[in-house]
Amino acid sequence: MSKTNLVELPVLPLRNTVIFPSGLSPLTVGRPMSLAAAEAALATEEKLLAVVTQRGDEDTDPTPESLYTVGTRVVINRMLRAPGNEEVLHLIVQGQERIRFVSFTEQKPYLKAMVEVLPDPARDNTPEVEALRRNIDALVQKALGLLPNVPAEIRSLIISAADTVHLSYFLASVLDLGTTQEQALLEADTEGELLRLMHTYLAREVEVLEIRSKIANETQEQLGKAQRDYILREQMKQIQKELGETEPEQAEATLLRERIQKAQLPDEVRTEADRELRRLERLPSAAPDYNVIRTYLEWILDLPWMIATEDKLDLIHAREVLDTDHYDLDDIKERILEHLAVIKLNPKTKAPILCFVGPPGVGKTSLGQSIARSMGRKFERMSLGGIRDEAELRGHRRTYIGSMPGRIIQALRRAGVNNPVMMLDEVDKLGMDFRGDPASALLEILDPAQNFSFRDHYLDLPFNLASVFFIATANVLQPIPPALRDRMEIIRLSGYSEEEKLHIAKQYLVPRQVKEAGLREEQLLIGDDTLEAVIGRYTREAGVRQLERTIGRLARKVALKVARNEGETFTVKPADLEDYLGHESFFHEVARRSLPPGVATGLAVTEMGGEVLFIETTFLPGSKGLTLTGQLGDVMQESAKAAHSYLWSHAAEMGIDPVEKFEKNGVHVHVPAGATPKDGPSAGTAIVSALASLCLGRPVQSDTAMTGEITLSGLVMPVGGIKGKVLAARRAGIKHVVLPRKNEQDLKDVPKEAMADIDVTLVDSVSELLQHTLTSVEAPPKSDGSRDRMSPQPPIVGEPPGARPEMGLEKGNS
Amino acid sequence: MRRFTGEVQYRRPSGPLWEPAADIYRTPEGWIIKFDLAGVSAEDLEVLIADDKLIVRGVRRDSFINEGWSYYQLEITYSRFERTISIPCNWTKACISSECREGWLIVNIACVE
Repeated sequence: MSKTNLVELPVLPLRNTVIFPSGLSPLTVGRPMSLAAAEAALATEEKLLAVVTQRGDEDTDPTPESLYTVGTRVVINRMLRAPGNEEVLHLIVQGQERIRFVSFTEQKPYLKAMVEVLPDPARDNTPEVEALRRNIDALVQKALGLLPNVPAEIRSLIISAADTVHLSYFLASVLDLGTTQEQALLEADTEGELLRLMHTYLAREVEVLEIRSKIANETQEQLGKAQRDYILREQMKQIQKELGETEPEQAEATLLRERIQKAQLPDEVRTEADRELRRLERLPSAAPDYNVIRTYLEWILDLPWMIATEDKLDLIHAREVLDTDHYDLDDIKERILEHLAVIKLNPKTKAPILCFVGPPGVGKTSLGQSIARSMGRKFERMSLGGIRDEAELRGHRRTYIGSMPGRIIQALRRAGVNNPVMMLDEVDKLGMDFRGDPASALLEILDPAQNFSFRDHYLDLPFNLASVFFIATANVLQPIPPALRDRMEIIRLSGYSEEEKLHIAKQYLVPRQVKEAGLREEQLLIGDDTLEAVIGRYTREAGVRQLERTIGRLARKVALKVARNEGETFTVKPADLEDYLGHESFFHEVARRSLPPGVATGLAVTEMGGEVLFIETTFLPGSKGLTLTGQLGDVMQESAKAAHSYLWSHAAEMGIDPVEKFEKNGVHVHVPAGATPKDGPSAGTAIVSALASLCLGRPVQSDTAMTGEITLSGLVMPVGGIKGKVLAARRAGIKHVVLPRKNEQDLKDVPKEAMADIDVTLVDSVSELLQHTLTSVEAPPKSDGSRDRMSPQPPIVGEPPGARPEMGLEKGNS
Repeated sequence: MRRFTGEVQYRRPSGPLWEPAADIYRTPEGWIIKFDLAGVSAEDLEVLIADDKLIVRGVRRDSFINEGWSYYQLEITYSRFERTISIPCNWTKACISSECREGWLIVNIACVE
């Protein structure tokens, strides 16, 4: 390197950039010292300038010490002053050669230095350099693959570049490698050194590019998924719009929104409804959930959350309505009026939950209807008979396909008000097995302390049932679980007496059936005696359903005759009944004219009302113990054993030889009819009377019937169903009834007409009982005329014609 | 005009220089090549033939340098230039002449068949 290579040039310091001896670079010059240097260069013949990079990036006036010692000699190709500001120059310079600063000759007004032109980096053809060249080529290819936006001209320029040194300079000026790295490249004196550095930087750059591209791809993927969903949904909307499907869907949501806004809803319900509506709006109508939500919203909107009917609080009117519909039943009518009075005084009172218990046909269901009518409320009836599944009452959760609210909510929707009279028919016939226990669901519904927020599984929103007037009905109380029974106010409707039936028939049934048959009132006349005959001989029931049917039959026969023009008006007499209705259908057990020793008349109640029954006993010589027949239940068997034991233990005082009667003989007790199951303790007095009669040889009085439970110590305990039993005794022609003294208050329920015909004796103990029931002598009982008249028929034992229902004796003293 | 033959050392420029524009004419006698080299004085110009290439190089100097003048705009490129042109011609038998006229450098190549 000779001294002649030294030249003096103005120096332009650069910030943050390095200019390589190849290609064109734009420069903007603004600093006064740089401006002066550029002006000085322009004022030379060849426009040559030394550019060099400042160390660091602080914005200070550069000193020779702050500059790198290797720079580039450039020629100014183009110069332009910035429009409006002549103190800023835009230059385009072309790098020519690398230079090394030897000494600075001037520092003011601009830097001027003696520079030595450095030769091109020496080319060497070692295998290492060749390997580097190839690697750099590969890296460049890779980088270009990752940079899709590089213009095609530059791409071809780079690929076709023959000289790796110049390619490196070009890449270094294009890529943003950082000042330090670029300066290092510029200072490289040999091709090997240059390429090594370039390879390192390029490899790092490619790696960064790869990571960037990977990140971009991942972001793109995530974005893409959300965007894809969105785009597809938009497209679907567009398709639906094209198909004209968007209209109903939109309209439906809008319609529902309007209805929700208008509906009177509690806050909690409104919030839920709004939420579901928002979900609905987001769903396409083809989505499976769409219909589920729509149905749910419609249920919410259809329910009378806050709609109630005004109660009619006119007590006189209410009583009139009740009287028009139903004969007697004073207790219940009184209870309804009481409730109306309470509502009048305290409108917020909770509705009572009543339970009508009574035999079929006594008017439980129709009573519910007239209660609703008397109060001016809507009436809803649902039969619970045979319901096995709790979900029937409380609905299925919405997750199930085809789920629906339970019957309670359905009934409320039908009613359209939240305070109907709701009749739960046949509560005693609720099924209960492994499939579910609907009675337990009723516990919540019927508890006034809980039912103000009844949650149906389907709705899952609290509905206030507190103002619903629940009336349950049942034929018998026994099958109702105690917890449920406890929640209801039990009102018993025992069967009607024959007089009551006569009244009912005259006032309600005959007019109704005459009308049904299309006759005028005067066309069919039925006298009281005829009705009595129908009641006594053609029907046997506690209620009046069969009676009404029989009267209906009668009316139709008359209608037939009227239609055949056989006459205009007909009067039916008892003698004509056989023509109209055929043979008499029923025979009641009637009092036997005379009873042999060992037979007694007992009284029982069945679902159909009261009945008389006979207890027959006999000795079995040579046998032992007690034989019981006649389908007796456990309680009745125990009752018989107690009677047997009582007599044995008290044999001495009663004048019975225990060895003769009880040790040498077995005793057989039979209760006809043998095919009918019987149970209950109330036959105790009848059994003990029969056994005592057998032992003493004194017959039981044939016009006397008895009921009552006995104890081993000889007490007579009270039993239930007194009214029915007394009515049955009267029907059977019994004159004299022996009852436990503790049942005295039950006699108030017995109709006065019946009491007039019956002589009632109240007893406390078995010994007292026997005094009244046994005849005094062993001879057959003296017969008197009246008894003959009352018992015109021979004693009948056994099954009467017609199906006879289970004769369950009422247990306990309820 | 110098004619370099194979033994003549060709010094490759250390950095990219600017290239003057050139028109090439085909004539019945051979070739005429016209370079746009206004403002280049003859002593700064060098025309070489190396192998089968015609090389024109030199320096354009700005002579309008006066005290008190300053540039407002610069579009003409000064400093060193070099242009290499290949002609399909048998150089060894060619008759080459050049002249400077009206700012052009005209190189006349007459090929003798």
